[in-house]
Amino acid sequence: MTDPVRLEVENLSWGPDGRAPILSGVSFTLAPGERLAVVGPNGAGKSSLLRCLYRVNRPTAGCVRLDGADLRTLKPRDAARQVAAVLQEAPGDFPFTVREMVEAGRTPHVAGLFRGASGEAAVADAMNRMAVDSLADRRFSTLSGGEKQRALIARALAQEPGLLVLDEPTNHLDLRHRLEAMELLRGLDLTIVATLHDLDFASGVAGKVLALAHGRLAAFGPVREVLTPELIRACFDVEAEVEPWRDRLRFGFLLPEGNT
Amino acid sequence: MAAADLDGAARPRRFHRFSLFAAATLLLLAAAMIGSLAIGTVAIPASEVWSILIHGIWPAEQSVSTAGRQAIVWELRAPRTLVAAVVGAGLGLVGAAMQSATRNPLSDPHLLGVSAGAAFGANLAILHVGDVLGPATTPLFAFAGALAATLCVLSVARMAGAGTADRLVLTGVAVAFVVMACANMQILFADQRAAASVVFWTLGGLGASDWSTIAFPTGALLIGGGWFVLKARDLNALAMGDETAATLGLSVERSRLVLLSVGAFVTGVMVAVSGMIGFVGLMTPHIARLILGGDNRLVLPASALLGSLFLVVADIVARTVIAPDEMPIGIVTGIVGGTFFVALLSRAK
Repeated sequence: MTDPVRLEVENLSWGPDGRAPILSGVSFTLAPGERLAVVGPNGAGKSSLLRCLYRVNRPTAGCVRLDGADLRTLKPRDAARQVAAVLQEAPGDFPFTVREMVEAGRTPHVAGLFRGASGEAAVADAMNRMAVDSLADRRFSTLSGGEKQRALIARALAQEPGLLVLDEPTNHLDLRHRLEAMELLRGLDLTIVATLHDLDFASGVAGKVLALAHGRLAAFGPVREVLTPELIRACFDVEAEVEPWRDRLRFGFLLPEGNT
Repeated sequence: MAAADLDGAARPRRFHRFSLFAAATLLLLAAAMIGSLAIGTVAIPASEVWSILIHGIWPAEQSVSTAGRQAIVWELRAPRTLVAAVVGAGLGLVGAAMQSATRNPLSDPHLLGVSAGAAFGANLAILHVGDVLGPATTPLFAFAGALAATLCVLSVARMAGAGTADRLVLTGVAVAFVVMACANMQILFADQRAAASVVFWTLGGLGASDWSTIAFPTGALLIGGGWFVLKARDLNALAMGDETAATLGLSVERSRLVLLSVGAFVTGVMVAVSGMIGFVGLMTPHIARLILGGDNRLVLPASALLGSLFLVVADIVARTVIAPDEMPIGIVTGIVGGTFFVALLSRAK
């Protein structure tokens, strides 16, 4: 298992070629093992930020450093041993089983075909931790939303990364599965960055929150300092009430006066 | 620990299934190949075929057969059967690789304009140039045409910035239409009697196979196919999605371009010796996946085996159904393959 990495994002900007930047000047640092929730309204640049972390977007300015090493200087395979991602992509018409999906997590680690460095132990361990070993021979496409999510996280764990990136991990999850996912992410000894629409979930799972608005950093810090009614009004343009509840926060939202 | 045990038990099960499948297909393939040597205008019993084969491989062994029957089996049917097996294997394997690389289950080996380019080259050779390079003129021109069309697709895709799989496929389709139109234009301006032989080439056939033509498709299958099997994990990653593949350490656009180019190259060689044979490369990967799942480490060799079996059988049908005339094998693969595929899909539901 790779140790959790220290993630430094410095003055990061990105935009599609020749068009206005979608992200500009975002900077933050996570210590090894910290969990970050990235929040913000639709179009704020959350996914673009994530894509810069998992190397699909190449920053137009600034840089992303893992344990001090610039992500751009790493070979794709080496970067993939450090950063794993759980995305909303499904394998379409190709009938992969759960085991085959999880085994794909070993791609950056193996050169040959079958055994060798294929890391069967890592695959078995990941499937066991995500409780998908009983689904191993099921087709991925036949799983429920929660099962799919667990299988995809298992693939990311089989990759043995130091940084785990998740794009809206609570999408399509019912209440029970949300709570399970929360427990599960809290139990991982990894540096984690996740985009989240669900602020309750964010406050339950993350130690820090980064709020984006119009591609710029609106706030970054510990959950209770960032997720305030003021910040939520500024970022999301809604009135919010926030109250502490157990180890997390509870939210109530209203459209602002004059909009109703 | 329980998980590790379970994994240890499940893994052999999957490979066990593949071994069973491979053994069964190989047996059927061997039977079909013997059948292909035995069946024809002159029917020759399997035992005699066997003795001729042994004589062909070890000339010291005396054959029980006459020289004429030996020539039919060894000089005509044997190379033809082998070419059918090799071309079928190549098309099946490349089809499986192309489908994964483009993440499109409708992709086939002729993607990237291979067949249109080959048709253009072959038409040029048959209709306008003549046998300037000897009997190998048509295959060489077809191969050159296939490569040229592929390069054309790749450079148009590059110009248009079409890096995604779907745009690449669409570029291939667009360029293929233009090239095919040019190929047809050649027919329009050619001697109409010569045009008939173009039709025969276009529909595919293995009648021209002899021992000298075998080396090229075999080499392409072994080298190209072997390389694809080594890249099976990358193909799996690409089939799971572009962004996923990137997070798994692939340079997505470059990997895909290289994979598709190698596929086009292998297909170009196959098309040059066999003409355009459709459906094998589209269909066999789907059958392989129905039986074995999505993992290309198993699907690629399985598609090769199935393609091989299918084309050897299709060639037998092509030679016998309107004997003594020969039906172009492309017609057989289209009708038999398409019907079988529809039946298979409706059963799989």
